Amino acid sequence: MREKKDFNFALRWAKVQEHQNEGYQSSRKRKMILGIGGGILALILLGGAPWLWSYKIKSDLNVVNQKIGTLSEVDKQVRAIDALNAQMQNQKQMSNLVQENTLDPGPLFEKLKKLLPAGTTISAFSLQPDKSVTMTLSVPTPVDVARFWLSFENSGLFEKVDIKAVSLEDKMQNISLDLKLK
Amino acid sequence: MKTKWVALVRGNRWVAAKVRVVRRNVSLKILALSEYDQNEEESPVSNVLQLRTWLKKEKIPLKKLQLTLSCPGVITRMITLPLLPAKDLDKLLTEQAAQYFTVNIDDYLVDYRIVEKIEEEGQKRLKVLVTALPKSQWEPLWNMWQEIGLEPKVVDLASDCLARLYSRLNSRNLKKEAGEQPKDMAIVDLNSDGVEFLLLEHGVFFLYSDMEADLTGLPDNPVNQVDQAQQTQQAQQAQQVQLEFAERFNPVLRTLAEFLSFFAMRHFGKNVDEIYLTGEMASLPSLPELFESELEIPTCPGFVDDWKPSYSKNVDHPDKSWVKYGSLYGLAIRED
Repeated sequence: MREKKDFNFALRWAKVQEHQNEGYQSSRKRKMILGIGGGILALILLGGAPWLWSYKIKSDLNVVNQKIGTLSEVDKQVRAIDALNAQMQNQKQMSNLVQENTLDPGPLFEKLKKLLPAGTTISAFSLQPDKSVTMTLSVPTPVDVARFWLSFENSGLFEKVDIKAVSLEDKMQNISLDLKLK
Repeated sequence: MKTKWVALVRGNRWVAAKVRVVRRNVSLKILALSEYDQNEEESPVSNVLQLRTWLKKEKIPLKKLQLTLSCPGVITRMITLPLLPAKDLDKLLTEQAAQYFTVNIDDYLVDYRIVEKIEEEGQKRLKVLVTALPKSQWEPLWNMWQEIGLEPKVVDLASDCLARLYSRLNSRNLKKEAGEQPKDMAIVDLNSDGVEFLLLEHGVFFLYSDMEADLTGLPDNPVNQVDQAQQTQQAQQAQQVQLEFAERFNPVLRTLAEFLSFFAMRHFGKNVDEIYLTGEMASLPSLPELFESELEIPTCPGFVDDWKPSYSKNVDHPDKSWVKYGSLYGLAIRED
């Protein structure tokens, strides 16, 4: 390169324009490469979207499972408590049922004995949980029937005393009674 | 001996000349000379057409024409660098030129030239002149040249052409053996729309600046007018004319005085030896006297040692018109 002893703006301008063109070309080339690269990347992303979505769901699931794993011990304990509670509830119900169904007829018998005329026999007796009493009696005479009927009525033990039918024959009377304790 | 076409472009004005140059003794013969002044009021398209017509009419070869440009806003920087290979120097002063200027360098077209090789503190160094030309000035001109089919291979700067001419003339008859040194000088390129200042230190570029000035409508010969006024017993009117003349040049003189003062400050009080006037206003009578009286430095229109170009017989040239084209002569003696 010759030593530069004079100005020459024409030459300088030509170089500046050349430089600008090179810059423009290289910038255009760079933009093109970036565009192509971007396009390829976009295609890859677009093609891989379902796979990526599935991957995301799987990874979310794993995270949830891990959380569940950490809570399994608590869950076991909760389950055990629930089972025990249910068992307890059943037993309580059973106990109530037993308690409700277990009525001691002894005291009632003692009271009835006093109300029944002499010679009366109780052939059947049933005391239900709803306090209904069913009994079958054998009374020596119809008069006795009237007697125990009045006794029952006046005893105040039963809500209503009703005798469906009484034979007028002077003989042993078999009477079925459905009563309800007060 | 070489014959070439050169042109000075200053705004809308063109001066083209066909010159024969003998570079060895700076001998110049003007073979053809033509001036063209575009009308600013006309449309750019019309101006392009007129310029093309003028170039064609004057038979100016568009491919061989060398141009020198004078435009406002040019910035120069003189920098000293260590010796560098030409390629590295080119890279430094073009790609990294921004470090030498405070303006946004993208708005300028930057070029440089090696002024001289010096030795400082035992180290060889290069003194380089870096110049930034506003693209706002350059691009419209370049586009117009393209439109008229002009593809200049050389576009120089008018101020640097002046530096070349005066420097060559200054050192032409120098007796270096006797220890003679080129003179320090100021060159003032006076034109109707602006003035350019150039200071040379021992023939080497020292300072360049320009200023806008309106020197249009000045009387061609104020002295004569004064004489005429005296003859007609209107001395007061004549004095008024002279005062106006001085007043119009006052800003130019004040600016030049500042540059000269700067030069003197950098040279231990020594000022330039001479002031030379060139440009279209340089031939105005009584102007050298005005400069001398205001600045107290010998001033003369024209060139060193009364150098002047010769003219071919068929070239019409008014008296003293040769003073006007200093930058054109400087372009003519360029080595390429």
